[in-house]
Amino acid sequence: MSPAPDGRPIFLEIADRIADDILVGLYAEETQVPSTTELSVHYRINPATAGKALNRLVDDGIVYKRRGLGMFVVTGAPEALRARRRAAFTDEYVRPFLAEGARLGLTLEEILDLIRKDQR
Amino acid sequence: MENAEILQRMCFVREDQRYNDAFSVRDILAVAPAFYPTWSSEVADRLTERFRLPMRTRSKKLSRGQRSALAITIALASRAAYTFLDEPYLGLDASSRAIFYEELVGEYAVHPRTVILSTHLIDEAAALMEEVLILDEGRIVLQTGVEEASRGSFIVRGREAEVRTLVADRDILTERRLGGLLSVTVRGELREDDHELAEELRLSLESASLQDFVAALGIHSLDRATDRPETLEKAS
Amino acid sequence: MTYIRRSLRLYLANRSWALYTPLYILGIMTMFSVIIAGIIGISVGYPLPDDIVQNMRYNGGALYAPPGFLFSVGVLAMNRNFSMALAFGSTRRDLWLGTSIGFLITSTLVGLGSLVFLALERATDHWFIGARAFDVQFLAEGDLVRTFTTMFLLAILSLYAGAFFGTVFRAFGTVWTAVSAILVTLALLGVIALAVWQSSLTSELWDSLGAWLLLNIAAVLALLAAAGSYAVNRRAVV
Repeated sequence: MSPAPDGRPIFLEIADRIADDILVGLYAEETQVPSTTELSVHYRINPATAGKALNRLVDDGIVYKRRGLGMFVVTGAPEALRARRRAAFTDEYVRPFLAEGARLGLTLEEILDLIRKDQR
Repeated sequence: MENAEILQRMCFVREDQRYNDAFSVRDILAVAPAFYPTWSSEVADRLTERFRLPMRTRSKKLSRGQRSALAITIALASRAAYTFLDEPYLGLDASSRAIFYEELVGEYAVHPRTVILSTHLIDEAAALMEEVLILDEGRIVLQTGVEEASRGSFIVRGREAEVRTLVADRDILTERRLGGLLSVTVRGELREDDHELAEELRLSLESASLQDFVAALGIHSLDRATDRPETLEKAS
Repeated sequence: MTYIRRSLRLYLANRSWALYTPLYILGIMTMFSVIIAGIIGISVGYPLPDDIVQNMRYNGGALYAPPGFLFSVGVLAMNRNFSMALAFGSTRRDLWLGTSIGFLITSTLVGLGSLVFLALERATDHWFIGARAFDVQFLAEGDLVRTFTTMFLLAILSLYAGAFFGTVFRAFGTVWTAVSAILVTLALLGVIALAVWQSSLTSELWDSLGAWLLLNIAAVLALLAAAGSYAVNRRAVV
């Protein structure tokens, strides 16, 4: 795994992927997530980077450490993640989306039409 | 005088390592443990299997990739406190390189040690590293954490006048032109208001990969080197 | 000591190379001697007549056969094993000492192997037809001490000569290897010239020491080669 083209650190990238997997239920609440070693081998990254990714999730209250056992998903983590992602949805998706629409000269009504068409 | 205590904690096997012509891969891997109290035959067995090293083949008859695979096997199985890997991937195909990276980080995670890996395949190896040291003709031009190094430069692209406005007071590494457009690699990190400024000036900002950064440093130093004869002439 | 033992294990990593092949060479040389004697016998009848047996007493196969291979063992042991030992974190000195013990083992084996062949040769009444490979004139026709000492010194001289040139090559490159080969040859010719010039002293020594004179010279040469390889070894780089 190499750094993302936008220069985003790898450990954030990895933390996001694990969070994605928790969000969709691949790692259920109170089950174990991959260890530092497993992550570093899988993504071929330095174990320190993998450790940073897990620590990031610990700081965010998504996973917690059980001594001698590993990292486990916090009860309620999927809900917390969903709430957080909803809050960020406007900034991360809606605004850039509207900005691109404006560059292309689309009106709000036209954009909404496109969305409705795609939904069907 | 060489210090035997220190040397036995080091392993420095290269792809172009010379072995005794009479020795087979099996002979070499049988004798290597004698030199390392920390040797792991488990690692050696796993790697020879994954790399499909031909055990009965004499060292002289090994292909380049097989020599690299043997060097990697010895280096990782040695578990030496200081392991040097000098461009260990020469002759290895992409899947063997993937095995190497996987085994390297896996071994390192379980048995931490200092691994000094020299490489020209920078982006491929960047994520494995913690620290980067860039040498130019034997001088250290950069020594920093790999994340800092990855943020160590950025590329500005746009019309020349606007690009010049943004990069006016910065450390420019290289400039390249495409028609009326100028693309400049700048050393250093982006400033807070750079994105706004770029939007205003209709410039594109990209973070440069570590490989771009190193290439730019190299070109920068080559360009300076071609200036050198002039200064020499003046001096004489 | 453990460090030296490692270098010895490196030398012995391929047993057939360091230990058995020299013995095979002695065996093959014996076999060829017997076959040639057998071919001669086809026309003159068995057992071989006296004049042929007299010729076979001067069979020099035991002297000519081993040095070439042992020289190459010496070269590889100090040249290739050097780069291996250093990659594996050994020191130059330990490599030299461990390899020297290995040389002693190989040479002793060559000496003992020669004694075994000699015993077989005598027990079978010279391979049933009067063929000789070890019961020969310059090995003092069955003298165990002379046979062992001669073959041992021949082996260790070959090994250290190889080691010397292998080390010079590693330390100073092709040109200096050629130069040192020329210098060594000149020095040997000089010693021979000296021996001829002082022929009365030489014949006096020969009379008192006999073949032991040559064995002493071989021993001195082996020591010189060993000392030379040790001195150069300290300067060598991978």
